[in-house]
Amino acid sequence: MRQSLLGRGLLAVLLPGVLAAVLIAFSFTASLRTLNDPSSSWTGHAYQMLAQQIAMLIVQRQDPSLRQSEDISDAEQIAMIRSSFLNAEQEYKELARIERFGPARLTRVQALFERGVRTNDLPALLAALREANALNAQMRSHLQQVRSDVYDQTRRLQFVLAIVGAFATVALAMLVARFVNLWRAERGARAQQAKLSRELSLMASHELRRPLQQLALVSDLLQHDHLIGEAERARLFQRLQDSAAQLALLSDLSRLEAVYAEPELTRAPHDLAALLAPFARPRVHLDLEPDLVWSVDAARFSQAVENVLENALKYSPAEVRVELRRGECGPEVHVVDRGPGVPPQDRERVFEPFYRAPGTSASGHGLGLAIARRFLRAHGGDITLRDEGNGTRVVLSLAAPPPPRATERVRRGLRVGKTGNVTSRG
Amino acid sequence: MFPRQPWSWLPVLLTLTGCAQPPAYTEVHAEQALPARSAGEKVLLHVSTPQGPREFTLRQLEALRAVEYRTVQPQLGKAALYRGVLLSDLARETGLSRQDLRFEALNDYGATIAWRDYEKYPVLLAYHADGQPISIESKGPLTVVFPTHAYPQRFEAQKYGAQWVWYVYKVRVP
Repeated sequence: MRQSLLGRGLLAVLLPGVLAAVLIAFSFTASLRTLNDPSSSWTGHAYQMLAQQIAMLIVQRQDPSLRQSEDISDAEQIAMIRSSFLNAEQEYKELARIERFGPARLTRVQALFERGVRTNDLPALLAALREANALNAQMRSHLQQVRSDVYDQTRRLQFVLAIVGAFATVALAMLVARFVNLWRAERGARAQQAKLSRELSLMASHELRRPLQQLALVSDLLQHDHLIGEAERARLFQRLQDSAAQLALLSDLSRLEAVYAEPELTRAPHDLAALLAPFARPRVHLDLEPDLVWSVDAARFSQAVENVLENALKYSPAEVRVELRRGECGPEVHVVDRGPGVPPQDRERVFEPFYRAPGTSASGHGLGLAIARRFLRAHGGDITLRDEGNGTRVVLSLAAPPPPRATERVRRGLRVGKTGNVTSRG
Repeated sequence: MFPRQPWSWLPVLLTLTGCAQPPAYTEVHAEQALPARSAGEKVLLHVSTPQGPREFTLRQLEALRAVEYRTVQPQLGKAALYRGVLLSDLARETGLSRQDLRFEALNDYGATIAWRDYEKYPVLLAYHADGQPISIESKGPLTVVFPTHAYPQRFEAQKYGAQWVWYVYKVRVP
């Protein structure tokens, strides 16, 4: 997974890079071709020199007294001009293109020059000069054209570079955003994991408290052995054993997730009234429908009822009623108190871990109802709060109505707690 | 099949990697005594030196150390065996070493050659092509030649084409 992510990241970097390189290389091609054209002189030097040398020859022939001692001879001057004609193919490489810009032709310059030199015909030399000047003007037109072409190519290059720059910036921004998101998601997942671990350990300590209290209570009672009868002693021993077994189960910290986050149930058919009978105690009134058998994990079911009952007793000074009924979908245990009640907007929040009723002074972590809900949901049921006018009715149903499709999907793949933490089962 | 001494591979290795190149030029003769200019002998080269102007006839130039190599003249588009005096030798002879040199032509053209180019590489002021004095029609009698046969990338025509000065008749510091 990490490798494919790395591969995709690398591809995301390489692809725009390669594309940009291809675009830039492609856009440079035209400019480089023009700049490296071996037939382009860029200066028109040969054409200028031709006109200049013919002009020098005319001047020196017109007035030989102008010639300086170190100046070249008439013959040398003529030889240099002829050298250019002889080497025309190399020196006037752009000739075809230049001659397209006007009527002047190099061959006519040469013909007029040779006639003028042969017969010392100054008008012919002058005509050769004019033709060479016209050729120069055409050469400048050609250079102007080359300059204009290079300018257009450079503008196109500028455009392509701007596009590539924008493209690269967008690609880079997307890449950075992608990695920031990945980083955030990973950080979030870690925070959730840490939160879950904290919840689980607090739930464990919450649940450990009760069997420990019972152990302390029973051992205290057994100290006064002479005050209790045989039957009572047997019952106390049974509670001692149950508490020890519960402790052993709960104290396995390596199984916290199996106990609380994804409860693993050991289900068997039980007479629910028999499971609820031990909850008879002062301030608790039991109203149990007999012969209601259901497949439950007895320990988890009892813990869930115990948590809800304990909560009711904590907040209600009056009697708390525990009712076992046949509901529409399956058995329901109703725990009804005459306490202050829960406002409608808080009826879901009370099942969130660490939720404490506002203004409450009672001790605890606010985990009892959250644990109860997880256990009931593991059974395929749920816990809900109902309006009871004066007090609260908590309904623990062992079988919930058929869930909507979305919930079903979530249940199969992911377990979503009310806190929003998501633990993957895959 | 394989030589026993490992170092006997060295010349082959150097040649293959391009580290050992054949010499870029051949020395025709060492510097000789400078002949006096005879009456009416044409001066081919005028050099402005810190000590004053110096003039060289063809015979005097030929008396300096002569080297030769075959290369293609880019503007003529053909190869020739050029013989002449290395610019580094000429600069030493005239006291212009380690100075950029301006070469001026009979047709008033001119170009500057950097001392780093002529000190390190055998840039030539040629007076012979294929064993013959260079005519004006062939861009003589003196012409600058770059060793493109040995250093084609270093002296590519796009950059150095304008420095192949023809009809050279004056050298000075720019």
